[in-house]
Amino acid sequence: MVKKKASKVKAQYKKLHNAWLDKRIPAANQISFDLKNVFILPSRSGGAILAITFAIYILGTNYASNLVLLLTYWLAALMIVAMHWSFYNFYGLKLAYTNSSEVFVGEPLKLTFKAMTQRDRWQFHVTHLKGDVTWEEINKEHALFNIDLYPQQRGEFKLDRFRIESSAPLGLFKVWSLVDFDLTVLVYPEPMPCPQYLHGTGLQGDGLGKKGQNKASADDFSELKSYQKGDSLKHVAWKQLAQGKGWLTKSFSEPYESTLCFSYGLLSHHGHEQAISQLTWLVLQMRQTNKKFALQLMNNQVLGPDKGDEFCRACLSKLASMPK
Amino acid sequence: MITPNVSQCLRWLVPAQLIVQMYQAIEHTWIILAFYLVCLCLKWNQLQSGQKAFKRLYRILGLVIALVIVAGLGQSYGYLTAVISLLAFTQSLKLLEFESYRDLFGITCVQLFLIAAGLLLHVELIHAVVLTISLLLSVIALLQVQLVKLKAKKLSIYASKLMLLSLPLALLLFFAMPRLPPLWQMPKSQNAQTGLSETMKFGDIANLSRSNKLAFRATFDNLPPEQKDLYWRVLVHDIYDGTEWRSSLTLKKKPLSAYLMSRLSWQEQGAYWDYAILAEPSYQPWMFALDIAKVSGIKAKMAADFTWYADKPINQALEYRVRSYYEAPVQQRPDNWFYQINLQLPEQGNEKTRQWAQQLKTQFTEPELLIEHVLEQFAEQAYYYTLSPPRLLDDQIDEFLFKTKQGFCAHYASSFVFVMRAAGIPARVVAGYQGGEWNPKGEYFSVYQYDAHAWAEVYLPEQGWVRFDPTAYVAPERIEQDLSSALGDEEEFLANNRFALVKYKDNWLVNEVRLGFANINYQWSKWIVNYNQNSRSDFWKDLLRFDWWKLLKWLSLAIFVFFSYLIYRGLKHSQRADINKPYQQALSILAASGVKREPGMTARELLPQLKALSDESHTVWLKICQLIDRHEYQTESSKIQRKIYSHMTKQVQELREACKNGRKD
Repeated sequence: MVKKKASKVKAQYKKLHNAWLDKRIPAANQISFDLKNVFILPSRSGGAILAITFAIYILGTNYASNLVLLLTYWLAALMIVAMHWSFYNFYGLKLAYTNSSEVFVGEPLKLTFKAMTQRDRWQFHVTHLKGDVTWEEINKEHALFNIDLYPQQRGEFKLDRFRIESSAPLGLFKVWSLVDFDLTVLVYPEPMPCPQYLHGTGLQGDGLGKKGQNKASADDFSELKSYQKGDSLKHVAWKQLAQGKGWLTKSFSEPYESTLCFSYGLLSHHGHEQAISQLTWLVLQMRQTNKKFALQLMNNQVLGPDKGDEFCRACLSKLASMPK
Repeated sequence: MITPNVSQCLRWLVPAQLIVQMYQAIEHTWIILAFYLVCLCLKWNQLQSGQKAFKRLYRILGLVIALVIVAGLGQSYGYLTAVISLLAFTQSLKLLEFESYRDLFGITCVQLFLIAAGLLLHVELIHAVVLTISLLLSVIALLQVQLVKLKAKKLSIYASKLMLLSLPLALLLFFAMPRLPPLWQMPKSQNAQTGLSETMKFGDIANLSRSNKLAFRATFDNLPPEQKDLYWRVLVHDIYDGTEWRSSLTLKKKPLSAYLMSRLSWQEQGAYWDYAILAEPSYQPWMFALDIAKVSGIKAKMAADFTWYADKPINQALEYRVRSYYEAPVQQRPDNWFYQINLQLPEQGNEKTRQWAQQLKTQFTEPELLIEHVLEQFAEQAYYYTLSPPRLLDDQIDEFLFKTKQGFCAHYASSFVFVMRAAGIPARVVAGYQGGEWNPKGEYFSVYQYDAHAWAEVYLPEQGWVRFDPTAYVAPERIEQDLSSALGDEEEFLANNRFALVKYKDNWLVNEVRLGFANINYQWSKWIVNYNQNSRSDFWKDLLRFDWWKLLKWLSLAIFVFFSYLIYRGLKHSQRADINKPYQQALSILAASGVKREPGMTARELLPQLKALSDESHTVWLKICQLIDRHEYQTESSKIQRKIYSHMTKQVQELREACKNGRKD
């Protein structure tokens, strides 16, 4: 009971904290560190040194020793200067998201960020989930750094706020910021090899029926296009010409038998996720061999037939965002 | 989080620790240093052989050994030594298990404490400097862990910068923060008392004169008195038992009772000297002042013999102000007690001297004449002033006056007082310091232990207490100059201290350096070690009287240096970074020759146009392109960057020539 309450309070606190953070450091695809979005506190070791300095101060006071007091004042001043140096290391640094790789479940997602700075910087740590990146130094020009993530699920992957921190130069202070790059990456399903379907699965359901009728008619007439010079006279729609609708050409689509078709419906007996994984593999194979294909999804919606990178990417996106 | 590179860190930590360990070893016991060295060897061995950290068992074993030693030290050396050595041992053991980032901070904490412990006992500037170096090294070790890739030189520069930048703030805090009174009593270290002691044997002052330790410094507000007038009174000895002199007014008795006060008659009148005394710790309560003194600034009392005592022994350097009415006569209304004390002699012994005194008494009716006669005897007869007189046995005074005739100031003063008392004239021995070394740089007197001196005071009914110094008749140089000139060339002065620079003061350079350092030390102890609430008001007063003209000169020099540096840096910077400038020049040359550059075109994209212009300009342009590439894409050191810049300007010149030639063709 108490535990439940505690966790509730914790959740409430986290919510408030996040809201405060969102207000203070709004999501953006570039962040420039300044007074507003950088936090600084003495680190644990800094606290220890501070406590020792105080103890030495007491010692100096009790022995009325000016030199010991001078030492404590010097240590205090050192802490103050170190604090400024620590903050200055962060101040003015710009961080921007550049790009990410195409990613499938089970593969690392490589996010690349660019740091821009007018002067050299000391080390930084970037902590995200379990990943931990250390930057030893940032040079004047600019530096790239990668965060490797391992998304566990297909679909939209939102990059949470992550922590970038530094305790340079003395380790007495911890300076950090929690940055949100407002970044969503579509994670494609994990491909699963299924060579037995490389020659197509055919189409299923209503779509097949209609197309079948079309196939039964003499020619695979699909639409009328305006006549252009060089079009074959054989295909001119004479009937429409006679009706006074002008010169039109009948265009014919390729027959479906010659197109590779992959249907979710016909694979779904393997299980929902597995079918999606198999389709992903097939799409990748098609992209590699640059073949024309059509993809039938859950509600018998058909993509294509088409080929090429763009089409494949569209197919993968559709597969990634299929309902779970 | 971070795992430090242990051996890299130790490079800085070990020297830092060695310094503080050495201080504690010298101060307390050598076992501290030995323990540290053993731990260091073990750690080194572990690092060399690449073993893992020491097992828990070994660490506990080390701790147990350390505790046993500490307990033993506590038994024989006292509480404070035990505490300090415990700290030092902690440092050694911590070094042994140094592995992680957290250990480093443990080590640093102990290090800071040990530095403070060193500063507590060693207040001289040189020790402060050495301990500051130890602090600097610890700071570098902290930097090293965080900035792994930096080289040693860069790290040292960063650390020094950090320390120097924080120094002004530290000094501001130091001078402005109020001092709290001690919160609770702390154990004091047991230190040997130095300087004059409560009793005086014949050889005591001669022994003291072998030390070149500083006793105190005096800064006069106005014109300082002459050397021969500097009789710093410390103790009055008025009881003689045949071997040693001591004080009837020992400290245990109330120094200045109302009764004794009523018998004294003196007024704060006439001319006076105002001065400040900065006394080194002597661990004894008596203070240094010229007659007749009024001390202010600290809690102190005057005794009936005009000597001054602080409330507590002087355990650390102490500054106080004195006003001395040097012309005021000291009258005292004698009573029985007075005669009893000041005519006291041992019941027997030194019969020859007593006879002589009786004889003098009948010979001279006036005490002044008697005194004069005795002093003349010292001057005329073959009395000899020496630091190492022959040993005297039973009847010391007799033997000295009539047999050996060799003695130091205590011999002369004691004998003189003995004769006076035997002749029925009240007299007493005064121990103190005479003279002092004038430091022209800091304009103050330094009085060393070798300036220790003893003289006599005689009570004359008309004048009161009058000072007579028999030594002045035997060795006038001692009073007018100093001990080393009185002793002559016989190398007696500071014979055991071969390296005392003061022995070489005839060498102009050595003397200049010595006085310079002495002055720096003086300023250090005046402004830092002894800075207190009282001197704080002085500080602001001094600030008003400050030589602003001098400051202005220094300030303008500093500003000049600063700006020269800025200009130098600016030049260097522009040379390094502005490769763009010659590039723009080159572009304008090209534009003049008709090469068109669309916005956004790179240097290399202009090459075909140049090929059309002339072969010569094309080759030059290719070189320029290479230089730009090198500048852009490689982060070279600034030295190479500057080289690139100079190459670039050269190429631009050649391009100009080439274009000119091209046009002529």
